[in-house]
Amino acid sequence: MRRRFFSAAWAYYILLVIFLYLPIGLLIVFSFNDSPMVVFPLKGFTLKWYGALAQAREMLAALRNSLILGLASSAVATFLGTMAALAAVRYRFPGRGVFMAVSAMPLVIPYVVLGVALLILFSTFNIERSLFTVGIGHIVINIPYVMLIVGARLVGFPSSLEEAAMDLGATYWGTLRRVTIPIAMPAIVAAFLTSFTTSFDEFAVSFFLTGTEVTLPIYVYSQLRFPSRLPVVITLSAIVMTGSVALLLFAESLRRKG
Amino acid sequence: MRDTRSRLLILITPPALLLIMFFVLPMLNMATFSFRQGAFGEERHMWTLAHYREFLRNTAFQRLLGRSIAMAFETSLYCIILAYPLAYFLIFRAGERRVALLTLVLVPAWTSFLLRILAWKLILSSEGLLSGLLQAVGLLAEPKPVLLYSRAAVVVALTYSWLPFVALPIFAALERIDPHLLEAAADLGCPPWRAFLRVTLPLSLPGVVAGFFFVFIPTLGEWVTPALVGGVDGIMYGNIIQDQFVRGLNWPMGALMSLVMLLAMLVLLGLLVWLLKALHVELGDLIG
Amino acid sequence: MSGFSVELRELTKVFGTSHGPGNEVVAVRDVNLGIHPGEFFTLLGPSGCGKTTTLRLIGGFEMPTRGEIFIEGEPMSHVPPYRRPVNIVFQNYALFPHLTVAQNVAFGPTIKGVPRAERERRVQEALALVRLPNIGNRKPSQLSGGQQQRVALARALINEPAVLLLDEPLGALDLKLRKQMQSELKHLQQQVGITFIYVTHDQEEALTMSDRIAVMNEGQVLQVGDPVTIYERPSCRFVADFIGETNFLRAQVVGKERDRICLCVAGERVWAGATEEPLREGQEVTLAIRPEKIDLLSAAQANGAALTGVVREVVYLGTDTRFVVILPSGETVVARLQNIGGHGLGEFAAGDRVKLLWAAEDARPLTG
Repeated sequence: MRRRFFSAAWAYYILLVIFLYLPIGLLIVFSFNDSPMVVFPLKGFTLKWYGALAQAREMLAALRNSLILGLASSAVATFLGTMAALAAVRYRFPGRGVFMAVSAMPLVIPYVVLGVALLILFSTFNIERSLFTVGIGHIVINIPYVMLIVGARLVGFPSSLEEAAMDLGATYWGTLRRVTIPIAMPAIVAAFLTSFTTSFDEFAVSFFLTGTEVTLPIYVYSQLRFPSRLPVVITLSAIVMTGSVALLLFAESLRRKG
Repeated sequence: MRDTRSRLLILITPPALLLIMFFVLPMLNMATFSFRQGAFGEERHMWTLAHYREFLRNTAFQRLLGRSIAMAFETSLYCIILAYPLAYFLIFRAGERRVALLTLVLVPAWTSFLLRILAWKLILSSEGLLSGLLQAVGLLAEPKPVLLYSRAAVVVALTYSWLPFVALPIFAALERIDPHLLEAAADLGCPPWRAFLRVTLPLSLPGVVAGFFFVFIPTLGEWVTPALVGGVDGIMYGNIIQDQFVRGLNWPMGALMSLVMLLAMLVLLGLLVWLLKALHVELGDLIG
Repeated sequence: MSGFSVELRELTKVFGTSHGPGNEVVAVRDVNLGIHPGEFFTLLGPSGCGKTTTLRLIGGFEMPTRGEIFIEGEPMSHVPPYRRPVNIVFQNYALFPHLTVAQNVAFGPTIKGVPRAERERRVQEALALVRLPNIGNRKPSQLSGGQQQRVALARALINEPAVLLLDEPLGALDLKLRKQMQSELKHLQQQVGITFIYVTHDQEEALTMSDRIAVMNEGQVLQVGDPVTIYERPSCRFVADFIGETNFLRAQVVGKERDRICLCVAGERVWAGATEEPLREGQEVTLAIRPEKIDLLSAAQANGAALTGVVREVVYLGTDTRFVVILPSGETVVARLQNIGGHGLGEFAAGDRVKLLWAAEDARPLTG
């Protein structure tokens, strides 16, 4: 009786995992498919799309833009988010509730609203759209996540450690540098990696804020209308997927260790 | 004391300034922008209530908003229905391997959102996997898209995309339940299913609610998925907002529509939180 | 009919591990116990001795690998917990955090479908019984540890179980509260007349509260008896060592009289009480003697059967003084003398030669 339920639960789990992996597996299969059309039936095995990647200059430029954007915006978001987390966790001040509510707001606002609001703002002040404006959007999106991840870590370790450091003669900023930040480091790195992957994959906000230099998701979206370019797009995506999964597994292991 | 204040100011000023400039200000600016005649040239400096009148008159907008809310509810519901047994299985049946098995479920969520939706297009299209499969078993006579370009396709693709994000908080909530509580329930006379209803379910409710928000919020604002797999039938409120900026070039109208969505979102979330509080009291009364 | 409230027959529990066979742990091994109705029965032992597993087997949270459990004469080994006439108080209380105190206490009656009016009356009674009226509307998180403990008791007792199981219920409380709860629990048990099975690793708690105690180690019951027997007549070295402080000395049987035995310890002849099991002459045994049963006299003034040693350490403990004495064999003996009338404190100092004396019946030769 119990045995049967056990295997039913296993069957359910396996079915769900198949459901989750099938679409991704499909893309990877097509990246090796010897046909310019991304349709069934499969034609044969080829590595030519991987070879064609080197020639796809626009796409490589978009990839480079996304990498730069991801690194820069996550660095800023992690820096500011960590400061905000320090303030929110370690201090009691008037307006703390308002501060926390406002900084968490981007979590509950649909990206299309945020994208549109920033687009109108930049237009109002005649700011040219560029990678920079996209970056601003990504920073606003990522600050709440950084605050959550780093804040959880700060709540998790007692402030007596910091008091001990100050008791031993460290200044406040010295304590921050030598005790607080090192202890929170796994969470800070995890927050950075999470921000990076979010930024790297973000489309709905970027779409409204991007200028002439496009990010990878924007490029991919623009290519979806041209079936003949799909195989190369899919091939790059297969590589990127593998990379980002590896990166996030690393971030997750850091978070769990911390 | 003075020291503490200056430290706090140093810590809080940069993030607060950024959020004010690029989050609070844009929202306020968007609100005033909805009263402008237009986005360009002279119209930019003219004030009008025309867009409000138009929005109120055009019931299509309101119907679309209602439909999008319904779709967001549906998607959240399907995600919870699929993810709850999964999380339950991992916590109560999978033993020490639970974290590894959960990670396996989470990995697909870390891959490109656009490409996952694209993959669904490949599955549902006329030369796609599902069509081929149905032809092979004789349920479909000729190559034909299955579900593609419909409301259902949008819901399926989004349920697929968000499922792992719902499994995670439910898993965390179930993980926090002290196993002794379930033993105590059994000790006090509960057969397993009653222990589930009276102890496990209420205690995992915070995880379910968190999962609901994880899905509901982005789905309500969704426009990319309907644009790719929704077709005419699957269009959502987010698509007409996007349209005002890309094709219609009626930015003030778009600003107004965004504002309405923001308002709808906040009202719905407030309602839900209120409902949950009321429900919690109800649950307690039922038992007492 | 056995007449026992709870009876365990050859009860054995083996835990397998997920790392395959060969890693099994025997938590409980061939335990036989008969617990009388209305008895305050304690399972005492160090952590990992199998006492909590035994309790969980009685409660139905574990299924026995072998053996049988009878509750009120009915075989119960394969009855799920929700159909057993027993209730448990967990070590961490396991109060439902989403329910109020009153809802927690009413949980059992609610499940059984007791009508609301009667349920409310019984909740009032149960909360009054544990001396916690007027907190029914609070949540468990708003209570102190002692209050949570009482709520857990009320939640179990309201079901009027045949047997109440208590798994180290006082372990999380501070010393003073623990002492107070010990006497309260004892009174409560006498008041309600329910069989209590109490698990603890605290020997003092076991001695002060129990009608009978079962001392467990490595999954086995070593001795069952009332507190006086357990303390005064331990059956083996483990029991003597675990409960109170005991000196153990190597000894050899020299001769026997009616109710006492002559032993050779460290080259000298001493007396000990007779044992149930017969001892042969020349047999190697361990002599167990408690520090407070030993008297010290200066080596010059005493004569007769006594050990001689040199005082190495004197520690003042307030009510009494503790002396560590080294025997010629190199073994050490601890003696405790009450600080009365100049005897003990100040009488001996480190380096003094002393004689150790005791009444024969206070010393026990142990073979195990």
